[in-house]
Parts: sequence; C-alpha cells; structure tokens
Amino acid sequence: MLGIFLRIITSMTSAFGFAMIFRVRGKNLVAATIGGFLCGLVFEGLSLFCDRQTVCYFVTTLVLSVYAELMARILKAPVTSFLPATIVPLVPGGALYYAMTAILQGDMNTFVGWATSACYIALAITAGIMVVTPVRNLAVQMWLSLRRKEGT
Amino acid sequence: MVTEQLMDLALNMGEKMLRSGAEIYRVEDTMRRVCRAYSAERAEVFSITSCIILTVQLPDEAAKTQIRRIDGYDTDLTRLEKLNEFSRYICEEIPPLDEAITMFSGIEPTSDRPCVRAVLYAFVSASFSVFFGGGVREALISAGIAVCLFYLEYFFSRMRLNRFFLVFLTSAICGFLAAASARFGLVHRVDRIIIGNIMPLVPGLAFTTSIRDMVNGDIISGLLRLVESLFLAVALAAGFAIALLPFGIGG
Repeated sequence: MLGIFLRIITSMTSAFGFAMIFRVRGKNLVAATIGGFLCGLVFEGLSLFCDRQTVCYFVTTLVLSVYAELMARILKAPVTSFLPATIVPLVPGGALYYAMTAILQGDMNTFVGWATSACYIALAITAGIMVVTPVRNLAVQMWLSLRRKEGT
Repeated sequence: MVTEQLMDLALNMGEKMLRSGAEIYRVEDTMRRVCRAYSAERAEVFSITSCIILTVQLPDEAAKTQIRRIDGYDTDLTRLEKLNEFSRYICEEIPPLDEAITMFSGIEPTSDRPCVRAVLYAFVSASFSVFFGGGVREALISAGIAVCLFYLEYFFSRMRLNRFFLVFLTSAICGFLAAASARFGLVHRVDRIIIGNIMPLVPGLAFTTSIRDMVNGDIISGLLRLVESLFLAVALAAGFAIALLPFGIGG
C-alpha cells in the first residue's frame, strides 16, 4: 500500500521536475504535474486488476495522450508541453539498467529477460501515443466539417 | 531584399522552434504559413532534426532557396509556446515585415540558472530513487550524485567530446560514486540510486517526439531521433554498469 502511494506521489513530483527541466512554466506546469499524478494513479490502479504489464503501460499511455491533447486544446499550448513529462515515469530505465548489468556479467538469460521487457514496454508506450494522434486529427476534421455545415 | 528578409525570419523561427523541442510538422507548417502570410506564391519547406531547407518565391521574383543547419538543442517549451503564439499573430494580423522581425527578436529564451537546473536534476533523481523502492538514504545519495553528474556534463561539454562518449563517461563516473557509497556501507541497494540517476537522463522527450514525428509521416526525422535516443540510452546504462564491474556489484 505504502509502495503504491509513494509511486503515485513520486510520479507526480518527477513529472513536475521534468516539466521544469523542459522549461514549462505557469498553468502548463500545473497541468503537467497533474498529468504525472494521473500517470501514477492510472498505472497503479490498472496494475491491481491486470496482470499483463504491457496492457497496463498501453492503457496508461493512452489516457495520458488523451489528457495531453485535451490540455493542449484548453491551454492553447503544444502537446509537447504535457506529454513527455507525464510519460517519463513509464519509460523502462530500470529494465535497461538491469539488462546492461546482466550482459556485462555474462548472464545472457537475465539480459534477454530484461531487454525483452524493456522492448515490450517501449512498444506499448509507442502504441499508446500512436493511437491517439490520428483519432484526434479525425475528431478535429469532423468537428470542423460540422461547423462548416452549420455555417452554410 | 524582401525575399531575403522573409526567408531570414522564417528560417530563424523554424530554427528556434526546432531547438526548443518542436515536432517537425509544426516547424514546417509554421514556416509555410508565415511565408504565405507575406504573399509568397511558393513556400516549400523540408526539415529534419538537423537541417531546414526553405524555398520561397514572391510574386514577380525568382524562387530562392536557403538551408539552415541545426547543431544543438536547448529544450524550452515556454519559448516554443511563445513562438507558436507569435506565428498565429503574424498569420492573423500580418504586421509589416520589419515590425514582425523586431517582435521576433524580442522573444527571449526562458532563463534558467545552472544551479537551479542542478537542483531540479537532484529532485528528479531523488523522486525516481523512491519510485523504484529506495529509502531516504538512497534518495539523498542519488540527489548528490545527480548534482555531480550535472556539473560534470557541463564541464565535459565544453571540451566538445563526442556526445555518446560524453554520456558514457559521465554516467561511468557517477556509477563509480554510487558503488563507492555502497562499499562504504552507506546504502544497501546501489541499483536504487543508479536507476534514480539514469531516469532523468533517459531521452524521454526525444523518444516521445520521435514517435509523434513518425505518426505525422516524418519517418526520416522520427527514425533519426529514435535511433539517437536509443544510442544515448544504451551509452548511459552501459556507463553505469561498467563502473560497477570492478566493485562486483550487480542488481
């Protein structure tokens, strides 16, 4: 329980730190920090119900991408201000490190295990980001054509 | 003369946006819109992460082409937002070109003192240390090493070393520091410290932007960024891992 709580809080603080490093300021900074909290909340919540790690990463990234697009619309800022900072807690830095130590110790089995895990996670995150952009573009086009029809 | 001024403005805007962290489609779209706002009949833009090519043709003039080489980044999303707003303003109001150029030069980078950035890196490292299960000691040591890492990078970058070697070297030195702290019995789990230090350096922004570039059809730029971020990530992790070898410390 404490672990889950700590992870949610540190997702938020690390998103804040990253947004500051990327020189995001003001309202956008607040939105990015909330996004970090959302990341921790959604991921930990999903992990309680879902055994499959890849699904958890995919759905969390999906939610964060939608959040970033919404914030970009509302705050009139680029999506880049919100998405990378909130996604960083998901990036498999740990898996990468363990994979490297394994290969340097000659432990191929462990290396393959961690490297595969890192790849799967990276792919899940990629898919989560990739799905949202075309859907958003479609939604924007439909919205614009609806407005044009109302105009005529 | 007008064509040159316009091209200068467009290229300067594109360069600043790219250096600040914009996606390729945003850079190309902005430059195209700005040129068309000032009555360009043709405005062709091609951009990758390290180069922008622009061809502009104003009415009754020959087409002119310039390229701009980009050789470094300085992520500044607030400046990107300001540049975005500025381009929207230009395309709506179409102020005189001289005025636009003056306004553009007034868009300043977001100030950030090195000591503030060092503290931020320390904060993020400590956060990730705890995120991966570390305690207060691990978080503090991770924070301390992050500050060393920041200033080391600052120092080494002046020497114009190869980027990947720079990352490898700084992470190896910090891995050494982390292992030393474990050897002196300060902490039990050295991996919690190191992962805390790795995470701020993992190129998350470049990775995310590369995916979005590829989805938008800019496969070349997306792949360039992706491969670069993969190389950096591997150099980073390898540096830390190698530093631990002499100490015989694993996961």
